[in-house]
Amino acid sequence: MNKISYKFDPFEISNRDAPKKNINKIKKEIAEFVLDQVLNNVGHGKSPVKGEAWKKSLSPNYKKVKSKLSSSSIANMELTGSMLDRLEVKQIKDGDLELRIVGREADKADGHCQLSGRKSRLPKRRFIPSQNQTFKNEIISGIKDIIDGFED
Amino acid sequence: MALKIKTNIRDLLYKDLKNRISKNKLSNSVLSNIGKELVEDFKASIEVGLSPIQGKGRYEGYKNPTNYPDKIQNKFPNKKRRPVNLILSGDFLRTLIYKISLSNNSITIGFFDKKSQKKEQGHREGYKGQPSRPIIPEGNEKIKSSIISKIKNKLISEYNKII
Repeated sequence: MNKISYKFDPFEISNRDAPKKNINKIKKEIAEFVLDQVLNNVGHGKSPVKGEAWKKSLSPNYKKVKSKLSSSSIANMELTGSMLDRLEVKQIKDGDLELRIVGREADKADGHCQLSGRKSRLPKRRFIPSQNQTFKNEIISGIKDIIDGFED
Repeated sequence: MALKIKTNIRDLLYKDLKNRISKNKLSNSVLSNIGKELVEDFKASIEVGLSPIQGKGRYEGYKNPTNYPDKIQNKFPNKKRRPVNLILSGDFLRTLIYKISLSNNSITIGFFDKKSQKKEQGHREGYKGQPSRPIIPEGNEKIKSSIISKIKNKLISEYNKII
């Protein structure tokens, strides 16, 4: 697969009216915030998706493999860093934002997130929501704060 | 004849709140708590390889990992290729502190000793060809939204108690 993604309207998911001014500036700040929050949660072994969670501990075998490359011994989705380096939030043609991984790391990401329906050997560790899901409350609150912080 | 007065409620509230905030200073203990949280948030961000500066994102990986950090693992066994967290012995980030000023109700976060300041400059400029990994905002740079949001909420809670 070439892409794994979650498309969202930041005003709709935060229950805020789209502003009349500064809309692109607000979306840019929200995009940066969402990316940061997803990476921050994942880095601490937590899912940024509402209702999702995963076990932080690793299998003994994988822990041994991981210890050669990483100082982290929890499930933080980062061995070489190549997958998380490709995570981005971009504004797309219809004006919505898209949290995504595009390119060859998408398959790896889907192995963790399991959005495509394909079988995966890996435990589900969803860091990109499905289109039926949303971000956890603290991320939605942060989006609201950004929108509210801009003058009308 | 009825007398009508049209008042913009939001303007009234805005002016009143602005005056109350400027007249009521935060205490030493409140500023200290906020300063402490600010330092913790900076460190929590850096430890998972994220810059605390708005728009700077994830710290880029090591250019030549077989050289650094692999070659220093004899001396620093916990230093690995990932996450890129600016931690070697831990001494550098331990010197990231805050200072408060009661007179102008402000908090300063940063490195206050020359040795750490040089290290921070090295991270910002990309020492020995490494990518830039800035920590303290400079010039027009700002602290990232996620950290500011937490501090703002704490400030709102503290001001609610005193105004």
